[in-house]
Amino acid sequence: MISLAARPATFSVKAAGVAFDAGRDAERRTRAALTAAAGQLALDTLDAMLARDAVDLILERIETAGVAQHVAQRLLEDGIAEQIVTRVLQGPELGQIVATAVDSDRTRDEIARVLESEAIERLLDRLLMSPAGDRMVGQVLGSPVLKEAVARLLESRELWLVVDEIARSPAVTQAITSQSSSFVDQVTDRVRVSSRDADAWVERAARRIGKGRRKEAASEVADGETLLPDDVEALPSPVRPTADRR
Amino acid sequence: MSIGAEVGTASSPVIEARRRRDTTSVSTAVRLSAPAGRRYPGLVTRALAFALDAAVVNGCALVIGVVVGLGLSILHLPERADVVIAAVMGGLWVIWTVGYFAFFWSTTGQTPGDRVMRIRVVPGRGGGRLRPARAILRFGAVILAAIPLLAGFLMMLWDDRRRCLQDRLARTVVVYAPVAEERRGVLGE
Repeated sequence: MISLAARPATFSVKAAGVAFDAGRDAERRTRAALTAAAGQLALDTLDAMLARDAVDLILERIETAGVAQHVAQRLLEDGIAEQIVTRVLQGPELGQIVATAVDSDRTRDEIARVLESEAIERLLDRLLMSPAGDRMVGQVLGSPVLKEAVARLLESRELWLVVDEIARSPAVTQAITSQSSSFVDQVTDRVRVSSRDADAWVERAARRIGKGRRKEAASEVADGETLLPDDVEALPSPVRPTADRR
Repeated sequence: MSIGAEVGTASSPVIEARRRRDTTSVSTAVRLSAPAGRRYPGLVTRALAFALDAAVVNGCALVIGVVVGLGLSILHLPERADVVIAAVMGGLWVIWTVGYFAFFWSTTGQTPGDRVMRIRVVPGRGGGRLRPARAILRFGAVILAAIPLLAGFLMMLWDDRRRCLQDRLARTVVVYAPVAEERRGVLGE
């Protein structure tokens, strides 16, 4: 009897379980359908927004409202920006980014274009002409970093190899030879001038001896040439040199 | 050699000067009638040039003599061979010395010493270059000029064109050579 009495109860429980499972499946399907419908609706909405330049409108409103400034302010105040910078600097990504940028032909072209632009020249001119430029140059020259760099440079072997190569170059050798020859030319020119003066002096002395103590009127004519006493006597008076010229 | 023949025609200033002794002396006329740019170096300039040449000649001879002497020192030559070698070397030295001066005087008119002092030996009449025989004669006259206590050189102090004995015998004069003229001389004019 008990068994007979339990059968309906068991049956009802099983029916309840079946109904529960069916309900749960229905709930799942409904949720999935709703989710898909909601996702599709969201995508459609997004497409519609993009099609209508709604993003620009949204960004303009955000910008007008100062949201970006507020976010940046918060990032800076909370130290998030600093953390981001620290993370970027310490991470391997920075090196990869820099290497990629340096290897890029576009980057080189852009840098070359910027350096060749007149704006850079104007900027450099203004910088160099300004008192700040003078101060900066003074600070650089007076900085211990520069002295240290120069000291290291002078200690480096490569520098002296370069210096040796330059010293042995034909251009430098030729310049030194030219300088030496010009020095020899200067010396010989000086000797020549002195010898001409000595010529005139010896000639005057010889004529003084030859003519006794007679008044000696030899004089220079045209670059070391000496007139004889008879010559001077014969010259017209305006041309005749005075005794002081000796 | 007459002065008039050296400087030009019979109507030259020299002849006129001789005729008019009371107005212009012969020496002045010779000097003023000299070709343009011809100026004559004096005793000191020429002595320096000659000293430089002597240094070159004797320096080369000394080097060669030392080399030959060292070379022969390792050979056991008889005593008479040394005398012969010395005589041969002496002869070579004379040839070298004469050849040195004759070569330069007859080619560029300038020995290296003359070139340093920028002077040049030219024929007394006109320009051009000395012939080799004339250059050798001039060198012989240099020796003659040195014999009487250098009087052959000192006579230039009283000469209008500063000529020494060798210049008078070889009929040459020594003039200053401008730089451009030196270059033309090197290039063979």
